Amino acid sequence: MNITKVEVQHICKLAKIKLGEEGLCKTTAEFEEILQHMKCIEKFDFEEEAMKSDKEGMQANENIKQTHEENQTLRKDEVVAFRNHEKLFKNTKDMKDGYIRIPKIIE
Amino acid sequence: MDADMETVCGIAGGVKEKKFKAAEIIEIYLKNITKQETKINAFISTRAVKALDEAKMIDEKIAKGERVGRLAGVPVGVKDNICTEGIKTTCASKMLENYISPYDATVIEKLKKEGAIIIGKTNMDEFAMGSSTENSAFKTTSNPWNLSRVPGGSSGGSAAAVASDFVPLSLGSDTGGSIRQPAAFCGIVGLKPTYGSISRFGLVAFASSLDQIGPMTKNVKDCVLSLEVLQGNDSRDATSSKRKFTAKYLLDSHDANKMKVAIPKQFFGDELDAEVKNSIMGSVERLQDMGVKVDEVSMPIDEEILSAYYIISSAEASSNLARFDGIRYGYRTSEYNNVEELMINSRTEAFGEEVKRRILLGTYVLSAGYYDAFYNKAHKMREAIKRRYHDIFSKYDLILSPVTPTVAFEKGEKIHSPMQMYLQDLYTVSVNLAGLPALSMNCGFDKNNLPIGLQIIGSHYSEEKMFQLAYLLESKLDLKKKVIL
Amino acid sequence: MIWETFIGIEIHAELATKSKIFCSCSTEFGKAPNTNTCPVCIGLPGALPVLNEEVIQLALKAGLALNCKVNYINKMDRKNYFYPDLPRAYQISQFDLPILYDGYVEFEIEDTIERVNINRIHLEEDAGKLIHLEEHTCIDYNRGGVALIELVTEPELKSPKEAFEFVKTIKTIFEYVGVSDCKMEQGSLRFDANISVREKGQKELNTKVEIKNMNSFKEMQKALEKEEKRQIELYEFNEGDKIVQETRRWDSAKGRTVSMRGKEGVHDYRYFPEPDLRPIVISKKNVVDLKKEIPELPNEKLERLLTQFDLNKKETKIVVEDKKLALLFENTVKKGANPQKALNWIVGDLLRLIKTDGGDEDLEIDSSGLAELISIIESGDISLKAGREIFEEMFMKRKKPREIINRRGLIQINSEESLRIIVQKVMEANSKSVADYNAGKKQAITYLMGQVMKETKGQANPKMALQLLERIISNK
Repeated sequence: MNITKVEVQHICKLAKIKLGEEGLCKTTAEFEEILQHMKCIEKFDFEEEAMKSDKEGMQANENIKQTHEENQTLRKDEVVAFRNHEKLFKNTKDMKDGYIRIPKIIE
Repeated sequence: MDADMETVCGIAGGVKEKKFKAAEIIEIYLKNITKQETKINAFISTRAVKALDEAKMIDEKIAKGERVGRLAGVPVGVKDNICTEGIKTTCASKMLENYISPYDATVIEKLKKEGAIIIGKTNMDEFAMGSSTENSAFKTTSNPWNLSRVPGGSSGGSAAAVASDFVPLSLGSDTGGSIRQPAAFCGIVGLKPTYGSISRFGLVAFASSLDQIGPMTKNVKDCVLSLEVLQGNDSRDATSSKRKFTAKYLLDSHDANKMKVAIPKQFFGDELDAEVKNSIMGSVERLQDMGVKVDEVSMPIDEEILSAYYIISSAEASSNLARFDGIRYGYRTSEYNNVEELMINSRTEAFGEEVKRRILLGTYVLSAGYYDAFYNKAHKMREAIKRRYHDIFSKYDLILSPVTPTVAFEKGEKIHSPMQMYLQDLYTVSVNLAGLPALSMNCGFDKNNLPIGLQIIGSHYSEEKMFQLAYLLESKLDLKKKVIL
Repeated sequence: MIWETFIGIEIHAELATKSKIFCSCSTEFGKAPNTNTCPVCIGLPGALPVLNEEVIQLALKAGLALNCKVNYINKMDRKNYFYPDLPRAYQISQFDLPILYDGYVEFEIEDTIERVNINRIHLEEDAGKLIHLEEHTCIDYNRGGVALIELVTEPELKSPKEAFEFVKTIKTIFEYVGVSDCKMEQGSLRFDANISVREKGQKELNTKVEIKNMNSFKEMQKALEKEEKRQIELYEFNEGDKIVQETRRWDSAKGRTVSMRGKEGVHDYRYFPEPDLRPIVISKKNVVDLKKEIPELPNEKLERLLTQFDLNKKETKIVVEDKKLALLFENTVKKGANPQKALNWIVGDLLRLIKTDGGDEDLEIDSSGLAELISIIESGDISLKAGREIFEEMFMKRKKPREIINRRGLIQINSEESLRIIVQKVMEANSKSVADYNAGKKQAITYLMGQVMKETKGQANPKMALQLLERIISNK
């Protein structure tokens, strides 16, 4: 598995994390090692296991559905206000007139 | 300390029967903390005054003959990724250094209802990512058996606090071994219950499909009582189980000695330290002596499993930790010209190295073009692991294995090699991937007097069997060694 | 050159639930900023989503009304991207297993029935609202976590006009079924479109362009017409390569679309199954039961009304397209009113009043009032002219017609006895006109009629008054 600095940089953009040049090199090297290990998952032969599971799978499907159905946690459509609302935004840095304020976004 | 005062069951019983007061208990434990905490660094925050007030209220209730809960007067340490109203919940991260939750996690509500008293929030690896508690943004916790060693992680503060007699019970969270491994390193009992047994509402998510809260205690009975309090369906957690839970796990008569136990040979490979292996095999022999039937089985735990774990947990983490962007709460950078910079700089400045590594790794495996090669494959692997376990549990009651390849390692030994650290989780992660329960308990010590842990893995909701076997083994081993600080 | 246009539409509709999709906060519109919020919908650490069961029911209703198939096991996924209006930095949505798929809707345009296929309908949560001020942007999370369905059509609409008719049809259906209140000014119904053109005869589709920020049906049609023209012109000048897959924003003030390229950043949503929620399982029985709850749909209603009563189609269509008008019409008829007359009142006076009253007010004409008014006019107790005044007052002041008639003394003078006295009085006072009439100036009678009406303050039954006038004059 080859991962380039450019790729790591793209990932950083998606994740909103900045790495300096040094960090970028280090992370790329580390990723190289980690992905080397992770690559083994690609070789793993699922077919044998899948064959086995297919048969069971067919019967299991209905069971799975039933299990999911029994386990389903849904909420009634009822309005309940949060009891501790005055503390809800206690951790917010910049609030004015009930709004959270951030630097202006130009759309 | 009186023996009754050392355990959860002892304290809860003693307080109720007025053998001693809750306030006395709290004072004793607070004193232990004051004396030894500088050596151990188990806590991120403590609350002496409020804890004492709460204890006094319990004593008043008892004096008036009012009902007190099942954990009346029991001091508890709570891992700092479990939300507590009015007490900081930092996740050992600069990101949440001053964060105070406006609500209690479900487990906290349950503890309070049963009269437990929260003494403090324990140290951990930042956002529960790590195996040594060295990834805390605030302090490094020491292993009470040897201060130069790590207590394990990520629930290292919780484990060290119990082993150091700072609390008889603490809560940890386990995503890939984060309760079991520190329990093993600190010579205590740690339980990762069946996924869905204990509500995750209020647990700051690392990897939602793997995370479970669990108790860490000094003995099996304490662990049992704690689980009985903590378990149960929660309408606020859609992944919480709706089954009827066993109310009492340890009844007087049980026949653990008639169980059939599997020993997966792959858990005893070359990477396993010889002393650890001998100690576990010794325990296995003790069980055999008592009539437990033991067979060696095959349960591949190759690198694929570790990979599957790191792919899934990092993927989920990358998404779960995206909300920390400096906008609504948490750390906000002072260097920004626009929202984009505000988010990037806040995250870059406040997340530690390991957290960033996992976020990036998780982002990578989910990103366009790699999803199928990684996440999808990992998901299939996960299904395969479930089937493998299913096969074993169709023939055996429980599985016995080591918890970690070695005993507690030196601080600084592995922190610079992510891969070495990840290998710590080899025996534990498959349990989380399959959603199974597993218990870690002390089964002996190595030549350096460091505790060795043994893992009991059960099928879904087979905690009862696990407890019975663990209790049987615990009483036969009768390990009396204690931490001397 | 002959050009063909292909338009696909995405519609977001806020579901008519009382509480949000994953928490118990109210969905009420117009509350003070950030009051309808809790740890779940502002994404506090540790808070978890739990799905509102009503969301599934409403979505299913929408889908069944649009002939969709149901995914009996479906699931929620996370769509990951950072934006300040998205508190968890991921939107809980549906990716590869939407709750509904493969539907269609039919609508009429220029007397032909068109069918458009619906690719999918999926569940998701709404984002918060950003308000851009002079120096700051302000965030209000009240809307964050309100339940949405997103409907995606195949790119099969052949013109902006068709797109217009399609969206109107969907809105009416959603209103009929009670899926959403579809209040566009509150953002509970929103739509985006994609459009491409190709030369007739060409096999593959050309590059499509997405258009956002169209705030009304009319604006959408206008935006699509502009974009259609832009694309055709570019192709005709051999500059087709300037058409790139992009999102363009409709600037209604300037009347043109503007590229949003460069402002979007990197997009890679990294969808994966939402681990905090279990799969959604829908039972066959649930679907069967819901099918029975689907009311008569607009096209069915139109057809029935036209067969049942002898009505003007265009007017009937106007009434049917608005659930409230349709309900008013049917109830009025049920209470005995003549169908065409009821229709006239609604399409004529009522719509005019609603328009001058500022549009979207809740209808305050009730069917029994309208039926009563129609019968009073039919009985001849009041004139049509007086009827219209009464109707206006019924609408403005929400009064019953009898009440208004009595108070204002608008009862028509229908008694021959009373009218005869008035007619004679008028003739006596205007003997010159009577003489003119008798001398052959027949138009003099118009003047005399005017005098009768003046004398009676317009309450004289005009037909009867005229007959009386003619008879009495001739007898002289």
